[in-house]
Amino acid sequence: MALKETIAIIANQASRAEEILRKLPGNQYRFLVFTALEDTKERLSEVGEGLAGKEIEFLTCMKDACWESDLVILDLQCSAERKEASELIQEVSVQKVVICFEDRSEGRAEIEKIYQWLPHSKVVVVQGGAQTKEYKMEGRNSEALAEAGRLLGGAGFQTEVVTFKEN
Amino acid sequence: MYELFRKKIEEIISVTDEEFEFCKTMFVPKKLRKRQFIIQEGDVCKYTIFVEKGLLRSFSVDEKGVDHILQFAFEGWWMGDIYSFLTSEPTVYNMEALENSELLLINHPSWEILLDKIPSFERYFRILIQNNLIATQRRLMGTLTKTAEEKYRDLIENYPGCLQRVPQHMIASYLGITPETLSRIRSQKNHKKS
Repeated sequence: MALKETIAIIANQASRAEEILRKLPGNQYRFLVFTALEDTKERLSEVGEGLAGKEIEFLTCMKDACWESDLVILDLQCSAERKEASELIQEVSVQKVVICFEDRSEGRAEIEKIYQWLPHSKVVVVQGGAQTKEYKMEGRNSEALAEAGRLLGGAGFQTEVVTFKEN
Repeated sequence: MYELFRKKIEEIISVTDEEFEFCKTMFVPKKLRKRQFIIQEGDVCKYTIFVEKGLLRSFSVDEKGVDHILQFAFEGWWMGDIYSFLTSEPTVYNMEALENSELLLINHPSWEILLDKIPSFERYFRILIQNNLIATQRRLMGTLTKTAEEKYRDLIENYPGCLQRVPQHMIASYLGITPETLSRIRSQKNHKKS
């Protein structure tokens, strides 16, 4: 029996985290969820209660969630939140795949900032999906892009790699 | 998080701050809770593991479901299955945390990069592998030739603090004796002391 992969989900909105928790198979993944927002936590707790057999745990420390994880999903809406989270998790996310949603398409400068904030992680930036589940992904590590594509595909998201630059 | 790691490396080689900063970027930091596994039999052992905090054991399980413990790894020790790590063949071992643990993991590609960029790590890992070979040969000979009492004495010498942190049945498994035999040896030792 293969080991479960531990995914840390750092989110301040419930919808994508909910899809991930619902659709990724419980026999392959264990989920550690951190959210700073009480209503998001309530919503995701309700979702978790309905998913018997899945290992879903809510942690009160973002850094610990990432430290325990094999892969990190950051679903934060604004640049300041992403920066703050990156500073907290940078040290414990070294060499880990970090999938970072960037909804507002704040441009090239924002994407470059994300790479700078997590310089030793295998960052995959994911944009789009506001109206549909179609996302564009970019990253600098081909294996991380493939892994992110597999994972998000498993959660029902349609992904397309738009740019790729090997480190 | 990296204090012990650096200290243990510098017991064998010298590294500059710059080299150590680079070295840190090659390792995955991973927290593991007590009883969680980091490697399971049948998986490829993708990582070589440094224990920064906590305690691991590696073991195999026979067809009767009995555990056979190969190694304990305390703070500052390394653990892994070098055969599986180097060949990508599935491992026959399980590796489990006996306490909440903080680990640093390095995979094969990162290991190669580290050795390539900082040649003194070639020396570091050569010495680690030498020491591991010596320990493995001694353990094998001990298993073949030593009495239960001698093996128990070796254990106390090689793993100080083991008796306080490892359950008795696991110590017995490591020594290849029954828990009853271990209990007898310990009570004899205690009698001699008093």
